[in-house]
Amino acid sequence: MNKMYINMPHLSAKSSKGTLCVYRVKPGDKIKKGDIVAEIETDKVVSEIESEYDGIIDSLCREEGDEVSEGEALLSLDKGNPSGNGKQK
Amino acid sequence: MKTIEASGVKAIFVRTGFYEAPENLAAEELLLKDRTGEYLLIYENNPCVVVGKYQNIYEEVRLPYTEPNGVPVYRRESGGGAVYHGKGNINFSFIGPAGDEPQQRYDEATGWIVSALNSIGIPAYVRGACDIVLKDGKTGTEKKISGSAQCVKSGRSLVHGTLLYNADIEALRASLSPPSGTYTSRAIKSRKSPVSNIYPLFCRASTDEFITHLCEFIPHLEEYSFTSEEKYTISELVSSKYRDEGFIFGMSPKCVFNNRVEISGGVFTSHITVEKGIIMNADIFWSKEPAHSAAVVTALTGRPYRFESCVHALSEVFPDDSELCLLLAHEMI
Repeated sequence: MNKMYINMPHLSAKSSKGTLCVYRVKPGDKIKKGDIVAEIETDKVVSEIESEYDGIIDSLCREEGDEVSEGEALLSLDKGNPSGNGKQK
Repeated sequence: MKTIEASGVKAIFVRTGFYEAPENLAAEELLLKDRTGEYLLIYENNPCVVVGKYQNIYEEVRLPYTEPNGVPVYRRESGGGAVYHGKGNINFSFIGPAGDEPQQRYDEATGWIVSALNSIGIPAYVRGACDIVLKDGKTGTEKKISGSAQCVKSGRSLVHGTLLYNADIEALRASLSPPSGTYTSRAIKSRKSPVSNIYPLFCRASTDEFITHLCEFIPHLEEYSFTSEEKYTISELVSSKYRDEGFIFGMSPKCVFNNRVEISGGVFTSHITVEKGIIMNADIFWSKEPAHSAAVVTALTGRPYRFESCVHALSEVFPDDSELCLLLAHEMI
């Protein structure tokens, strides 16, 4: 397995934390780069989190409603081939 | 269509012609998803409450007030807290490319509103990310007159906010007053603030006159109205989403309600678990009528969790005492 992580991105200049409102995928889902995997709310902004990779969802790292900080892993996926740079904080 | 300049942003002004929140929310979504330019909307809605996308309606809206008074509840795509809408509460929306930073979009919207208010001698200013406040001359406390929220989709941003010009503050407070018991959930919570109308500070002009001032403050303003094809798209979105109970109530995260009060000399306790807007489990006990507990639970389970449906469930158990049904229902939501 070529395990990669999709992390909480930088979303706000005023706050480095947000609420993981919902996952839009579940383990086993096949996704493509650009697919929406989660929604995060910070400073009353709901933002969609896009996958940076093609792959199959391996696991969801947090629970819906959790507060997450920039750089923290939201989910892992099996990218299928050994290229890519996703790292878990 | 000509462009306008709002705080440095080139935007097309759209007069939606709608007075219902679902239609205006759908209009915003159309301009967010199907267009590429900058748009500015100003409108008023008929009385309703609109909650943030990931809020629990039951925690935020006083359904025993809104349901009997015909105040519907809707859900929007942006974040933030619950807002009361109605005549005199002016809505504004900025829709356009998201840029690098959501705060920039807030700054453009609030900057325009504050400039327009300052130009007529109203000393409003921005507090935090996107609130606009006035300082009470006597007490020095800040009163919120405007709040905004935002959603970002596929590189485009929708910032929409409300401006309390001459809103019904009493209905606002009643609609957003706390529930009778406590809710446990992982939903986004509203941040309550003292609020104030602008009306007394603007020569008590009508809301339309005030909106005209806001519009005149933006140079080269030209209106655009939706085509019949666009109106059809909006109406489809309204029925499939913004008036859909599954989106409005079903999006509320799972929650558990607990309450313990004294009613007519007996202790009344309620413990209700709600998922997707439906009562999944209930544990109801009233020491004055302990034999009826099981019947009440049976009548409640599987029903939509609303004030009126609690009243109906209770009326099946206590068919001859509508006053009691209302009294108990108030303590169950």
